[in-house]
Amino acid sequence: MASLELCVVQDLFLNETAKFAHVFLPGTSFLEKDGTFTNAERRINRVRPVMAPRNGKQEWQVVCELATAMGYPMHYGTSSEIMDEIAMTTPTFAAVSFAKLDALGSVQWPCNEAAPSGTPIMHIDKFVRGKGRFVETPFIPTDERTNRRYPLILTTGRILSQYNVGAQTRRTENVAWHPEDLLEMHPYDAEERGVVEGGWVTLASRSGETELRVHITDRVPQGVVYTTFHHPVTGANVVTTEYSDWATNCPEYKVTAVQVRARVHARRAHESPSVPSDPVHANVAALR
Amino acid sequence: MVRADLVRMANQIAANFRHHPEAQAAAEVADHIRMFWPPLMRRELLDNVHNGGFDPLVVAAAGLLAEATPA
Repeated sequence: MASLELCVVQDLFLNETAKFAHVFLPGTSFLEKDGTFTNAERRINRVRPVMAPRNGKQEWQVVCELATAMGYPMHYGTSSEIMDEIAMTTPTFAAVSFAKLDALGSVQWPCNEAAPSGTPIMHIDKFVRGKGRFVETPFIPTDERTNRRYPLILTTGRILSQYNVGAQTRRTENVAWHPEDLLEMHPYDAEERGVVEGGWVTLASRSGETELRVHITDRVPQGVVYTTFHHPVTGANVVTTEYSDWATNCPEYKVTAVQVRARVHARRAHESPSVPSDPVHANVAALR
Repeated sequence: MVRADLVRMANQIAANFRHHPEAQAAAEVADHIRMFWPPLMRRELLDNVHNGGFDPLVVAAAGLLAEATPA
């Protein structure tokens, strides 16, 4: 991100990406948006604002003004005009309009001349290509390997009370449930390393290292350690590798060979959970 | 793009199609790259494929891609 010539971020909050932004454009919350939301059920829903945007503009208006200033004029008067253009250029949305969404409540695409009220179930009896295509998917192990230097496998994941890097959820009282990322470790692995419950450890991989506190539990099997990545100060993704899957390039955050060492040097300033050195909060304070 | 990443990603695709007969495997690799890699990455592959490191299946697939790509 730091190598980008120009990074423009538009978001509701100053998130981690915003730290690299040369230009930050304010976003709108779901209570202020005017448009549609298409969910994983293919259902196109209207989103109606209950209050005017606090920043004075809808996000699409900001994009339009930016495009116009850069020499590509966009002159939409309302968000429904944008939907009309989507319908004109997208065959599966050809019969979608705000008027139809207001009349029916919602529709599921494909919604076009053949299915003017949408398509609740797709692929009845057969797929477009017939009965389908079976594809062999041989198991290809990752190149990431444990060895004597990095004998443990780190897997990272989420917890219910926080969402991803926590740009929104860490601002709420949910932090009472999850004030910091902890490294979960099996009692045998902890004992071998002289690690104690709540103690600080260095977590190191071939990619990098970070420091966090340990929770000893048999919830994880011996040889595996686990942590969440909701607090940027933990730097969990400093430790994970560049590997990704072959087909979609999804990062391989579940398999990283690591070592865990009990830390012996003095605590750093950010290490008291009651006084977090949180870059998001620091950025907000800087802009006030 | 870092060349090592290009090699690794292309060779990963080859590994996942190796169980097919050779000609079909090369066609599948070419098909995947054509469908899912952006034009710039495809160009970099074609420019680098004979500089070593690439799986023979990738080299064969690049030949198929080159045939279908205007110079």
